[in-house]
Formats: sequence, C-alpha cells, structure tokens
Amino acid sequence: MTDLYALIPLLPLSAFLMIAFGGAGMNARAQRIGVPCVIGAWALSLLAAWEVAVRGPFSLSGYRFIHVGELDVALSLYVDQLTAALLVLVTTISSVVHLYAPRYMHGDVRYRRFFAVIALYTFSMIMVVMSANLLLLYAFWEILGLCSYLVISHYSERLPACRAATTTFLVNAVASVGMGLGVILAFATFGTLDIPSLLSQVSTAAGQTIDILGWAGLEWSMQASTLIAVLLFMGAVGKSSQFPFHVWLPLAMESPTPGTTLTATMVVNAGVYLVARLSPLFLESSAAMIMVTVVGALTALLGGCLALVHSDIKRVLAYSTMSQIGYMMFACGLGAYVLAIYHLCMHGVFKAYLFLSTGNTVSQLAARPRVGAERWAYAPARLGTIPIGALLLAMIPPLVIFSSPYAQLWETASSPAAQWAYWGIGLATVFLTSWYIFRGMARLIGTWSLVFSEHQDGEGQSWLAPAVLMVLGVGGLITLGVLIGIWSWFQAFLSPVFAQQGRTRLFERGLWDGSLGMVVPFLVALAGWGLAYAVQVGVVRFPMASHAKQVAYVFFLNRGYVDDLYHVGVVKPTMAFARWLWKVVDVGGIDQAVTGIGAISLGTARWLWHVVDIQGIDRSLKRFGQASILLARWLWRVVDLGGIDRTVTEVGTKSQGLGKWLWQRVDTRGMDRGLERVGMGAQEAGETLEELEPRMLQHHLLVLIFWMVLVLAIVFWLIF
Amino acid sequence: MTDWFSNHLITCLVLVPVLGMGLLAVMRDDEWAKRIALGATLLELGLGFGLWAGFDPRNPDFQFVERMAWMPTFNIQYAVGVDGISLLLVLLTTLLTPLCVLSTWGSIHHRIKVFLSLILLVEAAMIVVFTALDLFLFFMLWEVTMIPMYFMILVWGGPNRIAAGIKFVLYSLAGSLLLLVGILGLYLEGGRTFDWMLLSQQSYAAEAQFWIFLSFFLAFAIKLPMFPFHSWLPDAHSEAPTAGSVILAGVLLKMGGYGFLRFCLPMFPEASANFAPLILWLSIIAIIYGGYNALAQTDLKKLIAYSSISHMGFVTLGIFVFNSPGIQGAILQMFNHGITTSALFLTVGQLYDRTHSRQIRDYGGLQKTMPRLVMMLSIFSVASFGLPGTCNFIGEFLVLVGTSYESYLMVLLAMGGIVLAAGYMLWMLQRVAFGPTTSKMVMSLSDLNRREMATLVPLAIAVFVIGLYPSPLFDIMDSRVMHLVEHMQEVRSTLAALWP
Repeated sequence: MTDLYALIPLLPLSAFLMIAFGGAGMNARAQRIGVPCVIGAWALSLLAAWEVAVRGPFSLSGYRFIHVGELDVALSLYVDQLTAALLVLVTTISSVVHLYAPRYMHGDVRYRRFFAVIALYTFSMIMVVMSANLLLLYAFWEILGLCSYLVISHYSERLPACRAATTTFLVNAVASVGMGLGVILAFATFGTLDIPSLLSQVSTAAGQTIDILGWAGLEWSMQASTLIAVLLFMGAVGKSSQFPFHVWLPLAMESPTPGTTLTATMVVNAGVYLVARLSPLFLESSAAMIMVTVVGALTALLGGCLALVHSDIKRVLAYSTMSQIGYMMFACGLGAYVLAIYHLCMHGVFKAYLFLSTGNTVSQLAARPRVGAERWAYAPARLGTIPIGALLLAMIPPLVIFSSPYAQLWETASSPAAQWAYWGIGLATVFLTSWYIFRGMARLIGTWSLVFSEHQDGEGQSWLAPAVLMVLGVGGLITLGVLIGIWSWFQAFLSPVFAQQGRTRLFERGLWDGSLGMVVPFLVALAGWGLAYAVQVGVVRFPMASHAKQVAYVFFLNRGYVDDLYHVGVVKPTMAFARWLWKVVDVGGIDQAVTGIGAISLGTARWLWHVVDIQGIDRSLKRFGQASILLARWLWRVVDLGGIDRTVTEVGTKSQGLGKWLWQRVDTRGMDRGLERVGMGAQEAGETLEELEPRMLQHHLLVLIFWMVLVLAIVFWLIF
Repeated sequence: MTDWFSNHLITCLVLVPVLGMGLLAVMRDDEWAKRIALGATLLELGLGFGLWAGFDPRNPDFQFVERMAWMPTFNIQYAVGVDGISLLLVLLTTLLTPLCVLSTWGSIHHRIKVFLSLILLVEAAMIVVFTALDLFLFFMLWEVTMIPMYFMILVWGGPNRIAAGIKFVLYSLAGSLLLLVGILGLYLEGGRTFDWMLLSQQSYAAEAQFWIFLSFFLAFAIKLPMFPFHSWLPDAHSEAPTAGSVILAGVLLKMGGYGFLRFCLPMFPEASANFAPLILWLSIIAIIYGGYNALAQTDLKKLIAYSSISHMGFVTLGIFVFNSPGIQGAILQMFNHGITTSALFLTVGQLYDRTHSRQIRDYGGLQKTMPRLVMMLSIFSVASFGLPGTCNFIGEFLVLVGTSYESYLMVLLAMGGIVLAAGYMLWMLQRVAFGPTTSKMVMSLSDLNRREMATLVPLAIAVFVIGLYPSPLFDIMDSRVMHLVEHMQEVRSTLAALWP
C-alpha cells in the first residue's frame, strides 16, 4: 500500500519527462500535463501525512544505486512526520504555482521549458525531503541548484538574468563543497549513508575525532560529529541563502514570478529541513548548534535591515525571506525544531501567496501603464490581495517567539549575556519584520495611489495607505488567533520526530502558559507596525542624526557591500589567477620549458654539426689525413729510401759478396752450382726489391724484408 | 562456426576495421566510402556488445583469450583477452568511433576516404592495445595509434596544425621510448618473455621495480596526460579536426590510465605504493591547475582540452589510492570522460563547421538560432562538471570517497576543482549560448540537422543512463578490481610492516 506514495515524486518526474520530450505538441499545452500531476502529488502528500499520523513513519525502497566496497547506496525513500509536513508544504506551493503559471506565462516563448523546469524543480525538492540516504539527498540538492539555474536563466537573452543564474549556481556550488565533504566524512565516520541508521549511530560515534591538520604534520583534532555537522550546515547555508552565501536570493528575482515563488518559498526551506532532519547529529555538538544559531541570527538581522532600505518589492520580499529563514535557523540552533518547522510551513504558504499576488499586481501595472481611469477600476481589488499576505507574514515571528518554549530556550544558553543576546536578536527581528513589511505595503500602496491620483486630482494618497495599515493591524490580531489554533495540532503531529532526542521538554508545552514575558514580542511587533504607520502618516521623523542614518542607509542599500566584496575579493582574483596561470605558468612556463627542451636539442644538434662535426671531427679528420700523408712521406723518404732501401742494397751487395766467396771457397760442383744459384737468386731478389716501388708495398714489405734479413743472418751465423 | 566466432571475437573486432579499410581503398565514391566506414564501425559496435554479452563478470580472469606464436625466437606472440577493465575501454572505443565517422560528414571535405581509413586504423589499433596480453604486441600497437593521429592533425587540422602535430609526435615518441625501455627492462628481468600473464605473476626486486616503474609511469603520464607533461594536449586537441579530438580525448588518453592499471599496479606494487604520494599530489595539482587554466581560455576547444587535464587528474587520483571505490571510480571516470568530453568536442565541432571560429567572443545568444545545439551543449557541460544524475558524478564521487581513505585535504582540494569546473562550464555557456544575440554571424546560423543530432543523442542518453543506473558498469569491473585491490593491499601491509 505504501508503494503508492512513490508516486509523490514520480508524478512530477513524469510530468517533467512528458513535457520535456513531448515534442512541439507540448508547446502550448504543457500545463495540461503539469497541473494534474502536481495536484495528484499534493493529494497523495495529504494522504501520506494522514498515514504517518495514524500509522507512523514508513519507508520505500528502490533499486540499488551504487554498490562499491563498503559504499552501498540504495534509492530509498523515507516518510516520517517531518517529511510529511514538508511534502504537504512543497506540493501545496507547487500546485498553486502550477495553477498560477499558465496565466502568467501565457504567450511566453519558452512556455514549455518553464513548465518542464518547474516540474523538475518540484520533483527534486520532493526527493530532497524524502531521501533516506545522505548521498541521494546531496544529489537532489545539487539538482535543485541546476533547477534554480534554469529558472533564473529563463529570460536568457537578458544578460543580467544569465549572470544571476550563473552566480546562483556557483554560490551554491561553493556551499555544496562543504556539504559534499560532510557526506564523505559521514560515510568515513559512520560507515553508512542511510540517514535513519546514521542518526541512530550518532551517539556511539561521539568519541571519534578527525585530525584536520594531519596533512601538515600538526595535530588539531576535532570532534567528528562537530565537523560533519558544520560541513553539512555549510550546504544548508548555501541553499537557504544564509549569510555569507545570501547573495544569490535577491538575484533569483530575475526569474519569472512563479519561478521566483518556487525558489524563494520552496527551495530555501531545504536548508532548514536538513538541519531539522539531522537534528540528532547537530544536538551532539554544541559548537555546531552555536554556529547554526549565530548564522541564523546574523542573517535574520541582516535580511531585516536590507529589506528595510530597498524599494523594489520583489527584492524586499527576497530579503524578507532570507531574514525569516535565518530566524528559523536561529530557532533550530536553539533546539526549537518544531517551532522552526511550524514557522517554515506558515512562512512558506504566506510568502508564496505574497509573491504571487505581488507578481500579479506588478504585471498588471506593467502591462497597462496609464491608459485610462477605467483600467484602474479593478486595481484596488488586485492590490488588496497583497496586504493580506503581508499581514499574515508579519504575524508569524511574534507568534513563534510568543510560544512559551522560548522562555526555556533562552535557558539553554549557559551565560546570562547569551540569554539576553538571544532575546535581543529575537525581538529585533520581530521588530524589523513588522516594520519593513508594513513600510513596504505603505510604499506599494502609496505608489499605486500616486498613479491613481493623477487621474483623481491628487485625492486618495493621504487616506488610503494609513487606512490599509490600520485594517492590517486589526486583521493581524485575528490571524494570530487562527495560527495559535493550528499550532497545538501541528505540535502534536510533529513532536514524535524530535521526541527521541532527549530535549522533549522544550516542546511539550502549549503556546499559552501565562508567562508575562511572552507578551513582550507581541508588543514589539506592534511597535514595528506603529512605527511604520507613524512614519507613513508623518507623525514621526527620525530623531537620530541624519548623517548616521544616511551611512546606515547607504550601507544597507549597497547590500552591506558583501556582493562587491565577493566580486573584488573572490571573483576578480580568481579570474586574474586563472589568466596568470595560463599565460605565465602554462604557456610561458611549462610549454616554454618543453619547447625549450626542443630548442636545446636543436641547439645541441647545430652545435654538434657546426662545432663538433665541421670544426672538430672534420678538421681532425683533415689533420689526420695530412698527418697520414706526412707520415707516409716520412716513411717513404726516411724509412724506405734511407733505411730499407739501403739495407736492401747492402743485403744485395753482401749476398753478392757471399756468393763470390762461396764460389771461390766451396769449389765443389754441386755446391758450387747450387750456391751460385742461391747467390744469383739473392742478387736478383735484391735487385728486384731495389726496383720495386716502396710506396706500394708499405710496411708489409718492410716486415717481409726484415724477416728475410733475420733468416739470412741466422743462416750466416749458423754456418760461420 | 558460432563456436569459432565466439572464440575469436577479439580477432574479429580487430579485423572488421581492417577489412573496412580494405574496402575503402577500392571504393571510388566518397558517399559510399562514408557508408562503408559507418557500417564497419556499427558492426564493430555490435561485436563490442557481443563481447559484453558473452563476458562473465564474476570471473576475474581474462576471457576470450587467444594465443598464437608470432616471433617464437623472441617469445613474442599474438595474445589477446579481455577482463573487466579492458572490456569497458573496448566498449568505449566501439561506441565512440561510429560517432566520429558520422561527424566527419560535416567537417572533412577533402580526402575523406583517407581520413576514414585512419579512423578505422586507430580503432583497430586501440582494440589491440586494450586487449593485448603480450607486451610487444601492446607496444607495437601503442605506436600505431600515434601515426594516424599525427596525420589527422597535420592534414586536416586547424591553422596551427604543423606545430601542434610535431609537438604531439615528439611527446608521444618520448613516451614510447620510455615505454620501450620499460618493456625491455621487464623482458630481461622477467625471464625473457613478453607474456603479461607470466610477467605479472613474478615479483621483482625493489631496484628493478623502481626503474621499470619509472619508465612505464613517465610513458603513461605523458599519454594521460599528467600535470607537468600535459602541454601537448591543448594544442593537439584544439588543432585536430573534430573526429581527431574525439578519438584523442575519448579513447587515446585512456591508454595512459589503462597502462597504470594493467602494468604499474599489478607488476610493481611496491614501487607504485612508494610513488603514490607524489602521484596523488600531482593529480590534485592537475585537477586544480586544469580548472584554472580552463577558466582563462578564450578558445572553446582549448577550454575543453584543459578541462580534460582536470578530469584526468581524477583518474590518477582514484587509481593511486589503491582501494575499490577509488579504482572503480577512476575507471568509470575514464569511461565517462570519454563520453562527455567527446560529446563536447562533437558539439563544438558542429559549431565550428558552421562558423570556422573557436573563439568564445565570436558567439553569444546562440540559443536564439540554435536551441538544439544549446540544449546539447548544456547537457554535456553540466555532465562535465559532475552534476548528480549525470555519469561524471558517480565517477568523481567514488574517486572522492576513495581519496577520503587517504587524506581529507585532498578531497577538499579536488572538490574545489569541481567548483572550478562548474565555473568555467557555466561561464562558457553564459557567453556562448545565452545573453543577447549580437553578431550577424550567429543570427544566420542553422540549427543541428538529423545527422548531427544522431551523433549527440546516443551520448546524451549514455550520460543519463550511466548517471542514474551505473550498476551494469560496476558489475563488469567489480571482480577484477577487487582482485587488484586485494593484491595491492597485501603489498602495502607488508610495506607498512617493513617501514612502520
């Protein structure tokens, strides 16, 4: 039966596939696929929430994604109360957007693309909240980033939209480095990426440390759970547009309003969801909790201040979102998870409503500029939808802070200073929210009445804005009652998720416990509203020095110079470094070195040819040749003619003498004739030798003659 | 007949492109030549899948082994066989070559028959390189792969082709020389045989391991290319014609990674373990260095080329951590890089066919006139920086998991490289595809036709199929890699015992 709930992600996925690959036939009819699929997912989400409330959490398993060594990742889904709450929120917002978009996007060139992307957006967000595996969650986290990119670059022929899209993706990518490392560390520490089993092991891994400076030979051990929590939180900071990764959310306003709505009310919740989902891990480490608190508080205040000075209504809403999410993070950091999720759900719905009605109004104003008075006749009705949303939104923070759990939350901080700081931050955020929301409303209505007044002779401006604000104030009180009514039910639904974590005492109480301190936040919210009202009607002028006011105004108007800081401090140096690395190191260094080796080889070759070959060897050879010739001449003149020749002649003469002597002395017939022949032969040989050209015989002859002389000498010596 | 066929499947794989070349030689008509080349490569793809179908993934040994004496005097034989690692690379080769052939129809306009023959020659040579069980055979065909590439660059390349071609050949020759030295050293040390099976079962003295490993390592590092030996790649990639770039990036670079896995790890485990820290840091440098360089590029093909250096850093990173996620991730990364980078080169090539410009600044707002091309370019860019759901994510993630056993700092730095990849790819997309359409040239462009889509769509499908369901690829290599990892870990534990 529970397999049915696999359709919650599968329906938007199939919508995406059908729209994206459905061919040109989908061009104008994309909504016919998208809307039913998402509404189906919404209905199933409600059913799943009911199922969870009645029967408890359940899980679904898909195919095995990666199985390598110890790493075993299955495509498994998990639905508990937290997931169910988020599922209902996500599918609700997405359904509303899907219903809203056909009219808003009508006639757009990329109508089909837009519907495909928002279906994929919905699918990835559903998968993020349903994933039972950290790797899977990370994967869809990244795909969410891609969807943001696609939504923001919808009007891609506009350069600012492209830049905003690229910036958004890169800011998220940098944040994801932390998250990715966190996932890998979690696997290294716990040996699994399955979220339920990972969370059940959190306490057992308490003693594990990671030496984060081991590579440098130093030792700086850190609690493994702290490090993992902080790294994973970095991803949450990026996706939820928290300080210091908050720069992308205002840029995301480049997308069409339905897309903006999804980004700013559905996707930014992912960070809070992550922190809440991994609450056991965060609760294990007080350092991580403090970090979440501080980042959340900073963002809440910064967002409030930024929202206060900007006048572009979409930007105001973006900063407001950032501030509110920061507020939720702040609550998470203090351990008030149920409150944070409650805030998240309420904020999501109301902010979506606010975005859509703003987009509606803005497009109405933009589409029909000053055509005639009758055109404006229905404008107040359209405009009227915004204040309701604003009202609801302004009421949430006081409501959240109103709850008695907060009275005890402050006690979680050890020192009184921290308690006061938390109180101060919480109240300041409430004040700012109330102030900027009502100020924004007053401005918007003021602008409208200005347009209006051109046709109505200046009437209307003076009374309309304050009147609306008065109505809002009264309506706020009524809303408060409604929200408080939902709260106890919501708390009962969600508390099982966080109940096992040893901090149940924080969430068991109801909203109204009668403590007097709880009234303070509400009074603060009223004060914010009152200030906005007073400024609008002109009763109050700011008492502070105009210089300080201007400095603050300019500072926040320039978004605290954070964007510029990133541009000057990160983007430009990176690009400069890249160019330097390429031109100087790669082309100028390594390539030159290699070319240099080539040049050296070539040089060596030339040198070898010129110096060694031509000048050295060739010349030596020549010299050797000359020397040989000289030697040959010397041999011929001195040895041959002077030595050998003379010797030969002498030998010849001596032989002749010997023959004569033998003839005279050994006068026997045989001997005489034989000896005479020998003598004659020797004489002939001598004469032949004398005649021979000595140069041709060279030393062979020399050797031969030498041996002959030796033999003759021995014979001579033997006989005598 | 079928029995003979299944026993000689690898030889058939080698022969089909060679026969195709023979047919091309007698063909007069260029159109028919294209069809024949395409037919041959598609047949080859079919045979590749046949090899996969007949492959038993549980068996870590070589399969489809064929042996035949070649030069018995020197103990040289024709010996081929596949294990999980080679099978993947053979599949990659057979998958990419038909697409290369298809891409030539638009990009090569003269001497097309010769060009197609060269593609077929490279394919045949690559198959032998990836399946050779004899080192001499391996070396010969390793050399053969270089020659067609050289001519592709030199004859059909871009304006700066001569210098690029010569640089490529000189680098490759230097690598080959070192490889030859290493192989001869192994021949002498290993009892005068070139047989891989026999050589890999022996253990070598530390001194011999050091030197032989070093020569093998340098040869493969040049081919891969690793960080300080990479400077041939940007030139060769950017000057080569599209099909050349695809073969070069898609398959030829993989020979380096394959060499590490086939020779360095199993034969010189001690030397590998000793060199590992150096190689790991070089890989990290390559990842970041390639990323920064890609960020600075103004030339589309050079951007992809530098991104290749970065991606190949992941391959060496994964191989030299010596654990199962690392090595499987590295092999997968080789496969995935083959798909995504080839696809990027094909896409950019199709743009180049129309405009003859590779400069990023000449484009802008392409989305208006070429929505299909922009869609494909976006898919492959996104896949290239490893977005989840695309194939590269799996490989890179596994390599990172593998690296985490060694050092968290390296994981962090490598992830920085991925952010850089996202940066240069998205920035490139922003400048090329999006924004206002300003130039007249862009306004007059026509979108991809059916043939061009046919070259890209298979790769796009592969990107997502592998990204969403990678198990079949893991199944192929799992047993083999486990075998290798166990071997390495034994050696490392003995080493650790020796030098605590």
